[in-house]
Amino acid sequence: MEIDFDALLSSFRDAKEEKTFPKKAVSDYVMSRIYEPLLRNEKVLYANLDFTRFDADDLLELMRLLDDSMRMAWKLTDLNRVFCQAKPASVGCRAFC
Amino acid sequence: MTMEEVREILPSISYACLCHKYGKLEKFIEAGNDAPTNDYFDCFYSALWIAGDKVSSHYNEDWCVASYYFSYQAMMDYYRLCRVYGKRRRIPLKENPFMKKAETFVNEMMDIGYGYYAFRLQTKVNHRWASGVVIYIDENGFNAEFEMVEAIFAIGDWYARAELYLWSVLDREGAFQSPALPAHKNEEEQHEQ
Repeated sequence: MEIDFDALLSSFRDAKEEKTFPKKAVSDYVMSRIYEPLLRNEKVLYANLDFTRFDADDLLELMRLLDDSMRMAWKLTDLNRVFCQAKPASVGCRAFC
Repeated sequence: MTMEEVREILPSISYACLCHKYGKLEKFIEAGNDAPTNDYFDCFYSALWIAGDKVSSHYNEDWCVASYYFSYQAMMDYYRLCRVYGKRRRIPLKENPFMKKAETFVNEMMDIGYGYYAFRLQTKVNHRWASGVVIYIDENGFNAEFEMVEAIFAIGDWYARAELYLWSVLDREGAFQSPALPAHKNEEEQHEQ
């Protein structure tokens, strides 16, 4: 597989820097009582939640964090696909010894 | 559950937050929404049907337009009090400042800004639930369901507070005092006569 690393590095260098949504911006209560239990497949019941500890804006922040994380994951997946689809090319000369 | 699946069900929790904000979380749970779900429209309709004291709907299949009517007891009382206020000052409804205030608030709340909807404010009091807000939604393009429910809750809450305020204004003016009764004559005065 032949990959033009110089071109790859040049592309990375020229790419625009993107800021990610900071994880600390999300409420601790939302992370510990809603997000993490759901990830662990635990049942989250509204009757057990303290709605005075968070509001709809806190949920929006968590949504932004997840959207950010998913967008990065999709881009890495696309990059991985590019590498996987790169056509194999034989080496012109001996690589070792 | 994956990150994507969690992301899908978070909007349903927003509806629970909204219901809690306006004191209707128990009703929301009783309607079958006791936990987060990815059925967004189930949450939307559950919240919609508890947003008013009286809620009714109609669907026009030819135009794919759904219409909802919301009314509140406080709204009915408010408009009756507006008429008392106007009658005492001999001002028509169009110039009644309390009528204008209510109309301004409803217009501001219903300015959701996403299009594909229309609304109308009714201010009559000739029968129960005569006052209310009618909302028409074009299902082909409307996608501000949460904002709409939020507006309906806010409108109901506003009328509840405004009705108390207007009642206190009229009460201070003596609008609800019964006319003075003649003084009670004691037995001696009655006997002399």
